[in-house]
Amino acid sequence: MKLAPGDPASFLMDPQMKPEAREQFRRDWGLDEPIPLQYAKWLNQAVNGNLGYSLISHQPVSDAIADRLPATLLLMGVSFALILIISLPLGVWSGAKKGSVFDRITMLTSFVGFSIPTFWLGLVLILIFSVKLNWLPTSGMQDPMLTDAALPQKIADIAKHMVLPVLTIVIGGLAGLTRYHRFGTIQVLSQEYILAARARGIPEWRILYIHALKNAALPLITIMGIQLPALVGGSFVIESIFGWPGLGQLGISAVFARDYPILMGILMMSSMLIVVGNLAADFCYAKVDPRIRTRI
Amino acid sequence: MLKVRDLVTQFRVDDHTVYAVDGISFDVQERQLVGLVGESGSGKSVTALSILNLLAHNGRVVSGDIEWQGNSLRNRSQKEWTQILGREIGMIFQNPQASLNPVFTIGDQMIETIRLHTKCNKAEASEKAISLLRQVNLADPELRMNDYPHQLSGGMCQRVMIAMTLSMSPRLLIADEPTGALDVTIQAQIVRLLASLNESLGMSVLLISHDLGVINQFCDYVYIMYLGKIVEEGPPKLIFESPQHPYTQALLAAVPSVHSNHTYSGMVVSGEIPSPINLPTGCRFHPRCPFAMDRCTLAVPELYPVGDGKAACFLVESSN
Repeated sequence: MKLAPGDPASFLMDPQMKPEAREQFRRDWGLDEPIPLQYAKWLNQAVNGNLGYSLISHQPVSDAIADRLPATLLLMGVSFALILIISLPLGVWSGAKKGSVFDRITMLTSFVGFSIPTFWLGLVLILIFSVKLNWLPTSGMQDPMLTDAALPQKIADIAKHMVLPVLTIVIGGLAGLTRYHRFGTIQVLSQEYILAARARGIPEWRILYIHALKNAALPLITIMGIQLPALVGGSFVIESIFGWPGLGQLGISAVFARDYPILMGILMMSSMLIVVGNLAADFCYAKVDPRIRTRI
Repeated sequence: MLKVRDLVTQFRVDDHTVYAVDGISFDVQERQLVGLVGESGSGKSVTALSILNLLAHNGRVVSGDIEWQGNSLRNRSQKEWTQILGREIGMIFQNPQASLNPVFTIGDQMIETIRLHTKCNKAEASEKAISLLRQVNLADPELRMNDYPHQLSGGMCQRVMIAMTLSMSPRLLIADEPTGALDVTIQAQIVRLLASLNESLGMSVLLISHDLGVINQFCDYVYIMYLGKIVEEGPPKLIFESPQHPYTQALLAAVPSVHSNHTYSGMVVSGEIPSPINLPTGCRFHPRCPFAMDRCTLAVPELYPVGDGKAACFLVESSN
């Protein structure tokens, strides 16, 4: 990060300012110290709950993140839930009907969805639905004209702004998960206990949605644990395309401004999400698989 | 009771056709314990799965008829099958631990099966499950109900599978190498259990196995399979004392015996079982048969009657 040319001083200051003033600024913010020392200082403060202040807005980093976090969580939460709700039955069904027309169409579509870069898809969706058809807003989260409107109207407005970014994330994320679900289902259905269950006359829907699903869910938990933080990371691109006032946008502007404290704060947040995601996955594992439970 | 006639089952693997079962006929009578013997890959399991319509997607019964209580089992609807599977014909498998779903308790799985086939509430089903587990001599059935399959040994899992199948009181139990994955001492216990259930409940059993000792001891009638065909059949006394088909003789010779006094100990089958994709012409055993004649490479021998049994070998035909 620090390797990139430029620093906050040159971003903030008038280019016509004297070099001495610039040095003064650097000294004031401790930017002239060796990097390891800067890091040690930051770490010391961070452990004590102080993430520092933004070099640009002088807002405490924790406040800046807290301001933006709800928007990101809303966008990602809705997208993640939608991805789960759609991909699970889609994947299970195409796995159960492997080789059928339905399966082939699903796989082809998901392949295409997987291949499309999100930034391109986002722009194309904006072009079609906002510019050409004028159905949906191009960017932002709320219409500034509606700040004083009633709550239901506000919710409807936010929902309207969410359609395109959510659609972009879902199309990208759906493809991979559907394939995982499909693969898991195919694998589980070839197991002997499925054959044995069929030999007991257990109806096919019970086999698929009770006997197979719980087993097929096991590897998926890991994948979802990994995908959860990846979704937050992916929001950098989506949020900057759609002007969504979330963490990602904050991060992007912090990168351009070399606003190190903010960047460090966001990175720490993402790392924590990865740890939390994996921990949650482990807990879910133990919940679903009795073989793991006994080993704990 | 069960009548299989000229059953042909094929699999499509890539662009090849695998002739897994090729025109076999056999019967299982009421209360009988019938043995089906053969090497791995001879089509025993496929035969069982063909009967129950449980073949994998690439497998298909091509021709022949399977008659159950006088009605054909072919071309039944999915709904009819849920009535037949378990209730009429039950099946247990080779690997008992893999036959139980790892993420549900023994109790869950038993109660599900019981409630599927008999109308009762959870408590009644649980009571029934415990009494069935007791019937198959599983120790501490109440405790085992809350266990998961991985907490049980292979033998215990097979007892659970048998109890679960018994809960549906099938008329016929197909046991596909039920002891293949178990210790020798447990094997004997499980087969003895099956034989005693056959006796006490009058339930017919089709025992698929390569354990000739077990077959000899418990079966009423035996079929020997080789590469998708039945090569010899008859009561065990006949098969074990005067086997007619060279393959049966070789099978018996391959059994390590403590007494080592059987007549065929010098006979060893050379080579491997041929691929069912590329079947030998004529008699399928001829490439490995020490008595093969020219004729064997050209024509397929039918089952010729010998005493109370039958054997598919030209040697038998000419000796008659």
